[in-house]
Amino acid sequence: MTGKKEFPVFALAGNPNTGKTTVFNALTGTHQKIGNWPGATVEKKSGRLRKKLSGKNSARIVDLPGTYSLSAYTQEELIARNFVVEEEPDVVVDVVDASNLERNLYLAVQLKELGANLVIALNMVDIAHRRGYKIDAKALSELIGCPVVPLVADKEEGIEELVEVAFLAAGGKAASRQISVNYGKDLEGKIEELGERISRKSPSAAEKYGARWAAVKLLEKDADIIQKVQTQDKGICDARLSDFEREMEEKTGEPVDITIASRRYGFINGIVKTVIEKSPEERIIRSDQIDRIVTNPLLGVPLFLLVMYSLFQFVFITGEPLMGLMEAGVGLSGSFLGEALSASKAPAWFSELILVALVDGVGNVLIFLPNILLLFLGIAVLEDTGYMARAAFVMSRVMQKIGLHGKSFIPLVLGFGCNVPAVMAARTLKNKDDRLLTILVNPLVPCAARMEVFVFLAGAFFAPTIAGQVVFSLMLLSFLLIAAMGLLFRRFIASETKQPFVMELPPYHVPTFKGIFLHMWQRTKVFVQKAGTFIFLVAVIMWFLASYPQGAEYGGSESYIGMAGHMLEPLFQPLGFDWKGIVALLFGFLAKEVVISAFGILYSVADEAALTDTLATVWTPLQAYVFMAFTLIYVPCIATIAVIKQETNSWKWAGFTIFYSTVLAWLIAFIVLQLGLALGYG
Amino acid sequence: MLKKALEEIGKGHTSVWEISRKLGTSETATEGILMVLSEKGYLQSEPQHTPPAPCSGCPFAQQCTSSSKRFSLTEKGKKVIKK
Repeated sequence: MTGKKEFPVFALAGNPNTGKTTVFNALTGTHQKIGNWPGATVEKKSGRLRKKLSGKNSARIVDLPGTYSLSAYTQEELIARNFVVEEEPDVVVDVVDASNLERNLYLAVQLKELGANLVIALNMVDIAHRRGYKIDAKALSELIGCPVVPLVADKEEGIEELVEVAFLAAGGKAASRQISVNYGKDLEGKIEELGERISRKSPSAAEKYGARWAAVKLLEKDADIIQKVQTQDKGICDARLSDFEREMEEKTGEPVDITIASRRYGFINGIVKTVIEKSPEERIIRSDQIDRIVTNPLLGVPLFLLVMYSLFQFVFITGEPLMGLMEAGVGLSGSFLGEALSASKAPAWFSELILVALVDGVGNVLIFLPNILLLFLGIAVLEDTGYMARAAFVMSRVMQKIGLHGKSFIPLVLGFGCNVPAVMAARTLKNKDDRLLTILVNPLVPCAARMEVFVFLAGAFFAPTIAGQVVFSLMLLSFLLIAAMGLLFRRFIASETKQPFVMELPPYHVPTFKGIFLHMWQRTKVFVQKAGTFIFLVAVIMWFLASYPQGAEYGGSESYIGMAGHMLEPLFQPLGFDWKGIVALLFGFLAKEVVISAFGILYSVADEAALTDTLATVWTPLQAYVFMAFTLIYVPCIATIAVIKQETNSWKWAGFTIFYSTVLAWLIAFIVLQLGLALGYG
Repeated sequence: MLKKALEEIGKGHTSVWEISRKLGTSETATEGILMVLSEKGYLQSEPQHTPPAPCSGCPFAQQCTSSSKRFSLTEKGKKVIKK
C-alpha cells in the first residue's frame, strides 16, 4: 500500500474529547471527505492538508475514531488499530490532552508498542497551565521516544510546527526510538517464549504486528489477535498457556490482562512524575505524599540505606534462634545417618563420602536456610509494597552520577539475588556501552550466595547485635566500589552518551500474604535445589581431592586440595589467608555457597558451632572480615562468567572481569587488613 | 492498581472522585483506569444526571460529566475481587 501512496498519510489518533476534531479541522480546512469506515457505522473523516500549511508538500489526513486504548473491545479501537497496521500511515499523530496526561498516555504508549511512527500533539497546554501543570515537552519526547509538539489547537497555535515535525517524521528525520514496557520477570519470560513461537509459526502476524506486541495481546486475551495467530498456529492457546495464566493469577491475585494494564500505568506514572511539575496548589494525593519523602533527592538515598540496614538487622536478630534449631536438626540427621551407615556395614570410604558430602557440605549450607528465608521475605515485602521501584527511582539519579545509566540500578538490584539473571537483565539497556558497564560492575553486587558466606562468617565471629552492621558495611563497600569502577570504566572503556529512560512507579499497596509467600518460596526453592544438587556434587569432588592421593591425611597438606592451596599460599600471604582459606576461595569459583561447605570439609566438622570454634582458633575477627571483603569482590562464579561471555559475545570481557575483580579484591583486602591492624584490631 | 479499583467499586465507591481518593491517584488517571476496565468487561458505566454530593456546590458540576459517571462491577469483575 505504501508504495502506491501519492502523498504521505498522517493518521490522527487520540482519546475522545482531546480536541482531535479541532486539530483535524485546522489541518484540512474545508478539504474534508466524510463517510463511514468499511463495514462499520463509525464515521470516517479524511482530507487534504491545507495549502497554506503544506507549502510545496502535501499530505492526506485521516481522522481515526477516538479511543482510550488499542484493544479489540470496541469497534472504534479495532478500526484505529487495523488502520495503523494495515494501511501503514507514514505518521500517526496522537492528539493528547495536556491537562489529562496520565489518561491520554495509555494510548500513546500502546501506539509506540505497536511500532507506529508517532508524533504527539500535546494539545490544550493553555488549560494545563491554568490548572497549575508545567509539562516538560522535551523530557516527555525523550522518555516516550517520539517528537512532542505543544499545541493550542482552537487558537491554531503550534499547528505549523506540528505539520513541520510530521513531515520530518515521515521522512525518518525526527528523533524517534523504540520503547518497551517492562511487564515483570514472569510475564516477560512468557512474552519472549510466545514471541519466538509466533515468529516461527505465524510469520505473517509477526511481520504485521511485531512478535512481541502479538504475544502481549495474546496474554491480554485479544480475540482479534488470537484469531489471526490461530489461523497459522492452532495450538498457540494450549493448556500450557492456560496453566501459566492460572499460575500468574494465583501469584498476583488478578487476571493477566489486569496485570499488563497495571504495568502500563506504572510505566506512565514514571513518565508523568518526571515530566510534570505541579504547582503548590495542586491537591496532594496519598501516594504523592509518601513519594515526596521516599523519592526526595536528599532524603531518598539515606532512607534507602536505612531500610537496607533495618533489613539486615532483622534477618540476623530474628534468624539467630531459628538457625540454632536448624543446626540441631542437621546435627541429629547427621547422627542418624552415621548410625544407619554403620548398621548397614557400608564400606568406610562410602560412609565418609556420604557424611562429608551431605552433612559437612549440604548440611552446613542448609543451616542458613532461616536467615535466607528471612532475607527473601524482607525483599519480597519491599518489592510487593512498591517501595523497591521507588528505591530504583532514587538510586537511578545516583547511578547517573557515577557514570552508569539510570536503568542500571535494576540489574544491580537483581544482583542481590543472583548475578546470572542480573547480567542478563542488562539487556534492557539499549546502548551497547551502558550495557557493558552495567555487566562489568554487576559482579561487585553481593549475590545471595555471597550473602550466605557473610551470614556464616559474621555470625561466627561477631555478636548477633553487630553481625548485621558488619554485613551492612560490606554492602556499603560494594556501593563504593561500584561507584569507583563505574566512573573509571566510563572514563576509559565507554563513551559519554546517555539515553533517557522511564522508571516504572507502581502505586503503593498492602502486599498479599500469598504473593509474598510465593515470591519467598520461589527464591528459597532455588537455594534448596542448588544445595541438594550442585553443592552436593562439588562436595563429592572436594571430598575426593581432600582424601587422595592414597595415604594422604584427609584434608591435609599432602592431599590434592592441600597441594593446590600450598602452591597459591605465597600470593595470599600478605592478606593473612592460610591454604585452607585459599582452597575455600578456589571452590567458590564454582559457586559461592561452596565456600561454607569447603570450611566444613577442610576442617572436618559437621555442625556450625564446632566449625565456628575451629575457625576462631585460626582466625581473628579482622581476618574474617578481610576474607569477607575478598569474597565480596573477587572473581564471580563460573556461571556468571559464562553469562558475561554470552551477553558481551566476547571472551575478552569475561577474562577482563576475572582479572580486574581478583586484583581489586586483593588490593581492597590488603588495605582493609592494614587499616584494621593500624587501628589495633589485629 | 486496577484490581484495587475493582475492589473499591465492590465496596460501594462508585464515582471517579471517590475511587481516586481511595487509590491515591489523580482523577484523570482514575478515569483512564476505569475506562480500560470497562473496555475489558470488568465494569459497566452508568450514566448519571445528578452530580454526586461532593460536587454539588461546584459551578462546573454539570459539565464535569466524566467525574459524575458511575461504574458498577460486571460478573467478570465480581469474580476478580473474590480472589
